[in-house]
Amino acid sequence: MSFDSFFFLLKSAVNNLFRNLLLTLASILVLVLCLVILGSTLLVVDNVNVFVEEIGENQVAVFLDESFTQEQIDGFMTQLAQIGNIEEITYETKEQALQNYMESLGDDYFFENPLEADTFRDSVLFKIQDLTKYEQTMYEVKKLDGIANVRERKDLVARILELRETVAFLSICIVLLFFFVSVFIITVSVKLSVFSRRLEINIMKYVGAADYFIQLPYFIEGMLIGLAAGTISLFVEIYLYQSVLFPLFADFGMFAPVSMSANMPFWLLFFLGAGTVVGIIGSVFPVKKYLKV
Amino acid sequence: MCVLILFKDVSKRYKNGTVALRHVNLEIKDGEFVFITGNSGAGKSSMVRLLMCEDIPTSGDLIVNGSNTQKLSRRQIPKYRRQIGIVFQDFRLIPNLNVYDNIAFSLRVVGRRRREIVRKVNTAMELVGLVHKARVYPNQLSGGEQQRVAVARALVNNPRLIIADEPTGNVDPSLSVEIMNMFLQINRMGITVVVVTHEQHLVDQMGQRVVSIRDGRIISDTSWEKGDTDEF
Ligand SMILES: Nc1ncnc2c1ncn2[C@@H]1O[C@H](COP(=O)(O)OP(=O)(O)OP(=O)(O)O)[C@@H](O)[C@H]1O
Ligand SMILES: [Mg+2]
Repeated sequence: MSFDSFFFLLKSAVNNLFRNLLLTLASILVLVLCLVILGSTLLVVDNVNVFVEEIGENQVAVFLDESFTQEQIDGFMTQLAQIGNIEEITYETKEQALQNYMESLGDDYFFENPLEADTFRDSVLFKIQDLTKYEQTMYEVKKLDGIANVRERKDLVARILELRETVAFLSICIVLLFFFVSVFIITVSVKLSVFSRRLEINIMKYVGAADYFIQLPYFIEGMLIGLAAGTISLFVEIYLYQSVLFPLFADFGMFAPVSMSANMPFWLLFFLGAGTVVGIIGSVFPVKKYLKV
Repeated sequence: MCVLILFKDVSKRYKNGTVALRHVNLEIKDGEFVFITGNSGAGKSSMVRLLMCEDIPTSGDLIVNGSNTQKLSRRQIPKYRRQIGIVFQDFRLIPNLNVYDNIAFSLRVVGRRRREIVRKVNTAMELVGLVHKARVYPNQLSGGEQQRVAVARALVNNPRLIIADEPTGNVDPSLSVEIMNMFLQINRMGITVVVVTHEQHLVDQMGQRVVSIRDGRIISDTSWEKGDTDEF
């Protein structure tokens, strides 16, 4: 394609945008709304995952036979690791257990008779990687020799699983819904643009313009709307996250919320990419109809 | 002279059952000027649609400049149309483009370069006598002038063939002759011209080949009398 043609197509696309300026602005606005909802959903999912990681620590504690030698303990840990689907295996002495417990209570607690380390027991702590295989893995663990007692937090595991599923389901619904809404918005906008230009398209067909040449301005138009909305959304999202969502998660206090700025390349790609993709997809359908002549 | 357009036993039946053309056989040679006349509903525009490859014959073959229109692929159709210039009864000028840009439009959308566009548009405007109206918008032009712009737009891409469907239908009857003369002038440049019209009196005074159709059939062709054709 010659430079003259490219310039002509770009000019047509920009003209389209300005010819229906109000509509263009309205669709950008709605698209920004959609993209911000999409972005926020991803951020919430991200944070939920971090939260789940956090509360999922030390899910299982195995108390070993008190008579176990250090060698036997090491052997047990190795065997445990070999089962697979287990991570963050740590050995906690009763002194450490006491200290952790005191720390978890905070400074406000005061005991008249200080707790003794002997109240606690040495234990092996670990976490199940894939919670859906929890039962299976625990069955294997319990087959190992030398286990005096196992402390599981089955209800917590069940809750985590449930929370994850709910969040995944909701986020997929929201993403799909707003993806379609976005495509629809672009479609409407481009459709009107195509409609107001149907005479041009008709003449283009008669004088022998190639189909791609007829379609390109609308592609570009959709893409420009998408890009503009994507750029605006990125800034809106940064602001929204810093001033509302982040403090909200932080107040919750149980985990350190994810930082958006640490992942800026991803978010830049996400908003500009989503905007562009939605813009292109949305502008495919409306032109097709008028290509027949 | 070689044959430019050949209707070989062409019939056209629309989806709703209307038969618009019945066994049409017609040969138009390169460089000819032909009027196609007939009453409303006779099938004139249907012939034009077939020529523009907007539609294909239900049976028979239509061969234009060596290509069978039925066999053209989607990608070939635009190329095919570039050798044909079309003029409509309703002008179809783009209202927000001035005369120059309306004419240039048909070159821009087929990817021509700026320099070529400037040169060709100016030539076309001279040909239809509208150079002084280059920056004027269609709504500031008379019907006759608008039609001349449309003719210039059809001409600008150097077509082999110009097709006009009722080009005088929307212009003042006193200007009809002027427009027809313009087509004659274009024909003299070596371009084949097919003009569809139902203005019999106009056709009669031009002294060109006339093909008459009625109910989708060719009922007369002045070239028969001259004995140019050996068919029928
Ligand atoms: N797209 C279509 N679908 C069905 N029938 C059609 C279609 N186009 C035309 N016809 C019918 O085919 C016949 C021929 O129509 P056509 O438009 O070719 O006539 P015409 O000679 O151009 O008439 P006019 O002088 O009024 O323009 C008419 O009976 C018309 O109703
Ligand atoms: Mg007609």
